Amino acid sequence: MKNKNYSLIYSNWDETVRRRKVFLSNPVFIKGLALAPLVVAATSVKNGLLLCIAVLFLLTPTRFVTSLITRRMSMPLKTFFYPFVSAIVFAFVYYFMYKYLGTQVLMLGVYLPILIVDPLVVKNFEKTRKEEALYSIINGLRNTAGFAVACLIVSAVREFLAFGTVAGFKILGVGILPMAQYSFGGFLIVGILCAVWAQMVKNYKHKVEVEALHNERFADNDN
Amino acid sequence: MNDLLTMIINYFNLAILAIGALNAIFSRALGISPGIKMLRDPRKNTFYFCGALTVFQIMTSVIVYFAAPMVDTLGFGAYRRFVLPTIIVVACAISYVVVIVLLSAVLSQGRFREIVQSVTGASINSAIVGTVILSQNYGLNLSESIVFGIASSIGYFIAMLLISEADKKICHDRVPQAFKGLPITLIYISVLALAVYGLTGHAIAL
Repeated sequence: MKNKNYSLIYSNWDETVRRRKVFLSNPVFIKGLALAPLVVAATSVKNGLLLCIAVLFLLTPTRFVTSLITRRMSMPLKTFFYPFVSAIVFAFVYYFMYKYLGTQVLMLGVYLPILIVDPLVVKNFEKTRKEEALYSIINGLRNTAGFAVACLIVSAVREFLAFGTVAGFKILGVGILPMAQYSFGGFLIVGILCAVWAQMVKNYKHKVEVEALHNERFADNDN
Repeated sequence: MNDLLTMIINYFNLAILAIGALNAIFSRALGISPGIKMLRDPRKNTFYFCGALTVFQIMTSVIVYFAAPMVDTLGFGAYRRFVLPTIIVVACAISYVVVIVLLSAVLSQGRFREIVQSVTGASINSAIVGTVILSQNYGLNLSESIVFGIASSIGYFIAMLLISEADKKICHDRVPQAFKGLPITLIYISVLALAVYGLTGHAIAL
């Protein structure tokens, strides 16, 4: 059963990559989207969670609304309509986050507001293909999950290296790499994690290829 | 005379701060994703992109400087920080229309088509939105906002030139396969950002 799955994945590799946004086409580690908040603001799990909440309530509603309206718009009009919708959605998201989570939302500075023009949210305007409303919701949730996984990994690694804690829990008691809290440390850690992720994807692809070819040979022998 | 000298020194300090210690890419990572995307897009040119970004930055700063206080006048001052991004997006859209109309009137059709991709890409991104929000948060006046915007764009341009030059040279066979592309570019930027930090001795506060 498992081997049959590998054959199916191998034969529909491009479609599988498009669908598996958490691992195979992660928006951060593979596509390089939403790097600014991760490199500068995601210095602790708390900050990472705040970014995840903002993206959760911003990305999918923006995609859904724009998928309903922008179908017949020209490209330059879409360029501004997409951020305009995301800015309006963001105004509500930011207000409610501020109301329920307090001033810690302000600790992220400009890195919450700039999400409205981040390619993670507004990337779709360059696509000529129409996006169905249901597909925009599914795709938005997949992208959100991919961003959330990347954001939590980066923020946990940076907090551990910079302060010796993870989500506030003491692990080492001392930061072994204090530069992880600065932007240059953020670039370095995100770069290394991107490389590790790319290698994992490559290994998985290799495994799928080997298993699929193995399956084909078995099928030939049976015939 | 003293006032003029003080003003010039203030502008100079603000410009140096925006280019160095608060560099859009190396210190604040603003516009990093569209910047890297632009480097790999053959239709976009770094010079046109950064030139257009500077123009949009100035125009947006000016429009937002006059438009943002209107929120207070209308009695929604308490909600200003929540609606500021919307005001900036509208300001970017107005700037884009003005620039496109002017370019289409001045340039030949072939030349216009050549640069329109870069201009559209530069018209709205986190480098502009982030810098304008910072100008508002710092409480800069009109001339200071313009100087800060121009200097931020120059800082962005210098950073993009350094990254694009390195991007051509570091993609060789010695780089391990997993590090090729985005990872090695980010690691290279981290080394440059560390150098900028070493030079200025200043880390940004969020």
